[in-house]
Amino acid sequence: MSRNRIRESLEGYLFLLPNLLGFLIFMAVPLAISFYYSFTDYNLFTEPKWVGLANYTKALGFTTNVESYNAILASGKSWFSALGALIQPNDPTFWVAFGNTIKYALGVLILSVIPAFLIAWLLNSKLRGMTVFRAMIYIPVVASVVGSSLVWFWIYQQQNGVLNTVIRWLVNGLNALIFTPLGNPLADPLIGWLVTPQWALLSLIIMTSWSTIGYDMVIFLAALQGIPTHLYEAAVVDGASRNTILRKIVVPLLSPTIFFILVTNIISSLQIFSEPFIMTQGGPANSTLTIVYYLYQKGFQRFQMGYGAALAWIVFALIFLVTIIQFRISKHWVFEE
Amino acid sequence: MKKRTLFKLLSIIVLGSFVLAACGSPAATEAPVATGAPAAESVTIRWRTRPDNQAEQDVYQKISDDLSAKLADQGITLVYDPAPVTGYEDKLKAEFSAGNAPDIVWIPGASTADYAKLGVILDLKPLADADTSFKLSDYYEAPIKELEQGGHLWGLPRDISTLVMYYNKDLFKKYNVDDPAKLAAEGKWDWENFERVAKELTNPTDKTYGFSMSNWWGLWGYFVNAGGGSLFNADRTACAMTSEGSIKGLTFMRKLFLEDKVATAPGVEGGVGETDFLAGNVGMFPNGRWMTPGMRANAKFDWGVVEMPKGDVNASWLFWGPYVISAKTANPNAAWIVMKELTSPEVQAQVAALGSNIPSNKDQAATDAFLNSKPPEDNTPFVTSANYAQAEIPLFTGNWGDIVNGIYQPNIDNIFAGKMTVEEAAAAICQAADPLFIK
Repeated sequence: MSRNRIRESLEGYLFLLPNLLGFLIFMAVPLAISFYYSFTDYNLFTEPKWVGLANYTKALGFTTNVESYNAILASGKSWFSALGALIQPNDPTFWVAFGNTIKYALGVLILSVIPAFLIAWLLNSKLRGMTVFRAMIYIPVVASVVGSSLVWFWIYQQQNGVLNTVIRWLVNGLNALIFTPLGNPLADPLIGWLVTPQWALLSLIIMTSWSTIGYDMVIFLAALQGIPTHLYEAAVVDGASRNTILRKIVVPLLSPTIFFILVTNIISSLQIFSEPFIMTQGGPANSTLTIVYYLYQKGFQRFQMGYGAALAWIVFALIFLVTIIQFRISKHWVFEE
Repeated sequence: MKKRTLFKLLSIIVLGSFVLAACGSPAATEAPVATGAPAAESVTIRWRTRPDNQAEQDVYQKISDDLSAKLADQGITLVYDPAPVTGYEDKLKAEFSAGNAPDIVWIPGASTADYAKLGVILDLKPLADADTSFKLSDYYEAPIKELEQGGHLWGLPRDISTLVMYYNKDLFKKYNVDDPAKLAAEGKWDWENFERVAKELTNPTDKTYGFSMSNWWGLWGYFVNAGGGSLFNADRTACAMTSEGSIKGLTFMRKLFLEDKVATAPGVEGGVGETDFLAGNVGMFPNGRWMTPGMRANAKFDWGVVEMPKGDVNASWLFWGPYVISAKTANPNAAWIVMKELTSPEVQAQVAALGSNIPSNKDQAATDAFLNSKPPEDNTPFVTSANYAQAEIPLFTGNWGDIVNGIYQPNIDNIFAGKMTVEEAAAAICQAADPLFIK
């Protein structure tokens, strides 16, 4: 290798160095350390104690309890209802958090991607004032999670929140018009959005979707504007309806964008932390406990950093797995030019 | 060439040793010299509280400055290092872990056991025993008893606060309902009358409710205690939620919310229940003294406080928070001197005048400063409740977060949600929690 070439390479590495150092110090080394901690019993204050896979088996493992199973069978119940007693998770709370995280990710996906696509479709026109609408829909994206969470906290307030007030008006209106004359007026449901287990997770899903739609919409809009106009024109000349254009031209050409949105949304949804941290602290009845919030509780509030680190790596594995599956499936439906 | 290789090798070894030195574990903390004598050299003591607002922070800053002047002849300078409420303990744990926590720090009472078990706070017993000018009997017994677990002394209580019932006098007048303070004076402030007045105040059309509360252990724990039960057994090695008294207390609580419907759904602390009360829509709201400054600033109605209603037994919580000394302080003797000053009647009187807490020192002057901090017009319920209140429990026999927050709380939530009966929830709590206690 010539002297000049070596010098050139060195200069190249020097330019790379600031970023590389940043990556090593703030990403690679902490990641490696957390991976090591995940195999230890570590409370932050004393030396970590190597425990092998114990943290992973505690989170993911199950034990069988034949006695409980037989006892339930003996009480006359079916084998199916006794199954829950036979197979018991080592850490039931982890599986609650796991289930909530999956439900949350799916909920956000449905409530943000589909509306974002439809809004982008509607806003993809050159009508006057369209930029104002686009900006309005994008505003929640730039709002801080803390600020918007506090606003939603008041929207969801049970007694005097905006949402329940609107529902009350609707109920009163329906009663006045229909149900009271029929002698069967509806009761005000007075939904406890954040204080009842059956509503709390949905409330967080709605809030997150509201703040995600804007970003997704902008991506969809950019992709829609990238579709050549002659394709629309040719379709119109051929007599295609707006619906046909959407199904046969827009969706296929947008499939890489849809795929991108799906992957990024699922990755961020599976890491949900701020919303339950600020609004519900995982409650009520663990209904909004997500894996990342659970690992925060374990690692930072209950001095079980080893277990917390293992949970973090389980989340990573989950995201990795889901993303690989998405990539595999994408070969069948994503249209690449 | 050989020289250059040697140079490189040595450089790597030196750099490697720096890295290893930085990553190595800190040396074990030596026990303090138990003399209690003034510091010989000039030392700086960094100390921390968790002020709720600027006014409180200003008072602590003034205390710090005054004590620096007072202790100057002993070579002690104080540096006040407040930390915000949000993430207070997260920050503290990180500092303890890194070995740079303040010399003296305030912590919540229930957290004392966690820090003591981890060995990050100093056992003050040798210092207290060696100090002839110091008397533990100057403080309320209940928090001292908790701090003396296992023959140690883990801190000195900064303040106490009892659980009392705040009530909206205007709402009581509006609905012509018996005033709780009057009922208490007549010895009739019990669950029967509490339920009755809560019902009389409840008017769904006007969206007014008799009662509301935040949903955390202090509140549902009151019902457990007042029913004659307790959260844990006597030596705190097992759950006691299935006891007759605990079931009775929780059943009464459930009735208020789900059958009588005299209460709004409980939410997180500082959440909807408190807001509804401050908005004037709720008649009674139990809380500690820390709610008083907010009431003074925000309540647009006449309000007062009364002791918690008597169930089978009188019950309240005695919340407390101690000052503790970091095990890694370089100046334990100086820290002890400062700590005594911070819990002295003079300093506690200054803090009590703010109205946010009750002095932990039983000195009359400090107590008078608290009693004269108005409104409420009558502060005595806070003090009289201390006579029978159960002290906030630092759980030396288990992990409070795993047991109470992780198991008790979600099952209590299920009672409020109507998803479990009291008996089912209590059984689920004890079944899951019992294995987690250290026997």
